[in-house]
Amino acid sequence: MAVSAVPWLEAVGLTKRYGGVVALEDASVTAHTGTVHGLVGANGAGKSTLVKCLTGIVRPTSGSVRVEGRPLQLGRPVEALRVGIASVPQELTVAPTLTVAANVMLGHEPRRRVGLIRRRELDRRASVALESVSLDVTLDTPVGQLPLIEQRIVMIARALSFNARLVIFDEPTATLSPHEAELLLETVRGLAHRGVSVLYVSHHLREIEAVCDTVTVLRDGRVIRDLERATHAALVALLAPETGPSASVDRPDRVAGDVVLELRAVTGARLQDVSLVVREGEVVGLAGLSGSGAREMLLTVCGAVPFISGSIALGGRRLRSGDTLAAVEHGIGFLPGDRSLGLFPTHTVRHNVALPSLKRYARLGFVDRRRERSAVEGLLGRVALAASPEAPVTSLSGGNQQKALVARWIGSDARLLLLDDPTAGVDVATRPEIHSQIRALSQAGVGVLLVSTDEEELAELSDRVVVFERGVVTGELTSHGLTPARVLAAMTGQPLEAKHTLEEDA
Amino acid sequence: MSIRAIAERWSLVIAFLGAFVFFSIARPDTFPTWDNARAILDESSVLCVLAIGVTVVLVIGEFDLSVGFVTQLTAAAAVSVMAFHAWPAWAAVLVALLAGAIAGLANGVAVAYVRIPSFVATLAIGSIAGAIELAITKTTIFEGLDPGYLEIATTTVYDIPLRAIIAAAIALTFMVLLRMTVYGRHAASVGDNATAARLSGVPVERAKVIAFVLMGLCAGMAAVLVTSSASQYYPNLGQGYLLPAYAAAFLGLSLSGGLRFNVLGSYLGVLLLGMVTTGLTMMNQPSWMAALVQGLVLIVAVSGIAVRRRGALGR
Repeated sequence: MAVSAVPWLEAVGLTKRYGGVVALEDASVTAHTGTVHGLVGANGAGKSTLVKCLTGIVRPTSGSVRVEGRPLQLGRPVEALRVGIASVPQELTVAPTLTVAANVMLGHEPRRRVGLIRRRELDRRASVALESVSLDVTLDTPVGQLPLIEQRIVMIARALSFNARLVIFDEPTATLSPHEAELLLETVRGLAHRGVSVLYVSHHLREIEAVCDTVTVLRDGRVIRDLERATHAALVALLAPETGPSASVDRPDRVAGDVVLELRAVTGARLQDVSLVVREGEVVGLAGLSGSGAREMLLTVCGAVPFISGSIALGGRRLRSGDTLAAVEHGIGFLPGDRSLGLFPTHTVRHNVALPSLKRYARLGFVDRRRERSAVEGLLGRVALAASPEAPVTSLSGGNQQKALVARWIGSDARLLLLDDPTAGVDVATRPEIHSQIRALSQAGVGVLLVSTDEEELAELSDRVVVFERGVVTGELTSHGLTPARVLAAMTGQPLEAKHTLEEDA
Repeated sequence: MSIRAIAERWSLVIAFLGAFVFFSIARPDTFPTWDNARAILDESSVLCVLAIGVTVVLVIGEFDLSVGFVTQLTAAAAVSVMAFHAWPAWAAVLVALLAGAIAGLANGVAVAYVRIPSFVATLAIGSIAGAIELAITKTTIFEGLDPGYLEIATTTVYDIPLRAIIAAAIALTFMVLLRMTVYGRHAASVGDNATAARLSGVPVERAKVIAFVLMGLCAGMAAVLVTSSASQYYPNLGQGYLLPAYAAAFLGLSLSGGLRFNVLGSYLGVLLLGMVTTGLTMMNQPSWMAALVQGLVLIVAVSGIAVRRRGALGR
């Protein structure tokens, strides 16, 4: 693909500060007509902030954006859309009962003077947009009846219907099967072929390698490298530089305990034939990108998501599919990655921490508040959270809320903890504290299933790491030589055969 | 805390005292008297009991729109066993409570297990309850109740009407239930975040069913208080309680900083509404004025809460 000399979009020195926190610092990025430009980086590296600056959702603290040489008014979503910058959101945001045509033209339907919709014109414009993504569906099909991938492509058509010249994709294949993902990549290539420029944000480094002409790598809000035709290996090396043997923490060899959790050939909506064993005192990391099945594993084990076939046993006792209550009663504690799934926002810290173990502080159904309070105080001390048990939980910072949730499960009788991104949104100082609590729990014999988007965390805490991709277990990294780089390589789609090569390299 | 924040926090108490002072100045001879206080307490007792039941259902994050119909059904059941079968007063009270519990169970099962949205489920169950009521009573008025039953409305203890004492006792019981028991904590968790509650081992469905059954029991008790005072069953006696019961519960929300429905707040809310109604009547205002003022008070109270709730929940 020939790259024109003048980029279609040129962002220079974008900086965004939130109070004292720098989300993005002096970031520059260019997008050329007819090319696909990748944007990669760890969580919190500034990818989303950069995208939001371009689409006008966020007004940068400083810096400028030029579109076809003319300055773009920043912080104005309508203006960004007018010049042709459109984004395809990560989540599906179709109106399922409306037709394909109505969804494509939603919000900018061609109208008559009195406000009535010009149906024929609407259909015409919708079919133009659908044609440019090569989607062959009838215009009056309700979108909800289409397969997921086609719903996604309808959303891309919708973005194009605004006469988009730059389309931004944010993790577009997260919930797609390998075949569907391939179709989507095909659509992305097709767009570039038609002269649209594409900004492609993804953790799937293999996809980046497959589809991107150029790549910008971000770390801690800064651009650390611009690459052309980046390979998977080069990206892994940039994102998780090998820091030598010190990165892999020495774990004392423990005698393997009894089996706490045993999955046999579990198949569910997002899992296929997964078998796994967790022993007492063992931390099993689950690596995989969103939609890979790692997080779905946790939800399935705790009964929040049902499974179709196979069996899950906790301490030898079979768990029924989708029976959360039984799972929790028999000793499963789930720390959700999305805090809104764990917090009781109108309640005190005490209530939030004590709830699963309330019965222990109760006699004849009455809660002994003094016992409860002193128990909660002890737990807060263990996670080094200096807050009053009586403070509203929403008065705590995000990191401290996370500590409170960790305290909740330390205080329970859980035999198996399911941790989903336990240090997400937690500051650097708090992170080691939470980590040491997790280690202490596992040394006390609790089994842990750990999902994290942070490869360093997985490498640091896990005894072994099971790798998921698109619902299937694709490999396992054992404690011997468990490093962030290997975890990252495995979770971003390193082919299994290459695993050995990597180990030989090291 | 700023003066504004304090004013909002205590808005219910301020409104309560304000209304008292206002009417006392306007009608100094009749309003601030023990006779009037006693009348307000007595007349508010039915609404009190219903508002407490409504509070429990709101605490678990659901609605019950069958309140009026269930009250009528239980009234019909209690009065008919006395009028047709000459059952004693205590048995009639038990029948009212039992009928209420059954209606509540139906609501609870429909909402928690069949998973029909409570708005729809309780409307449907309410309609069915109303139909059963009419099938029993054929829209006639029943009289000739057990004298012991009528005493519920006429007895006073230390010059306080028994009905007011019953309402206060129920309020106290439910306050203890919601604040000090495992069930109360579970119920509050379900209302706040049902997913998180389930993941913390709270039996969400059971908690919901219990809440609806408690609501049904309250409706049965309210029916006893209405019919004993009227000394009869009459059609549509439950009409007109639904709205003020919810109004009182929402007024009471301010007492917890706008975060949680609570029994004490609902209780004070009912008394505030009762005071306003009585006061306006004493000032010879037309009867629609009370409804107008109640509506305005509710809007003002709840709008302040809505703003703060958004802030607290980060929405």
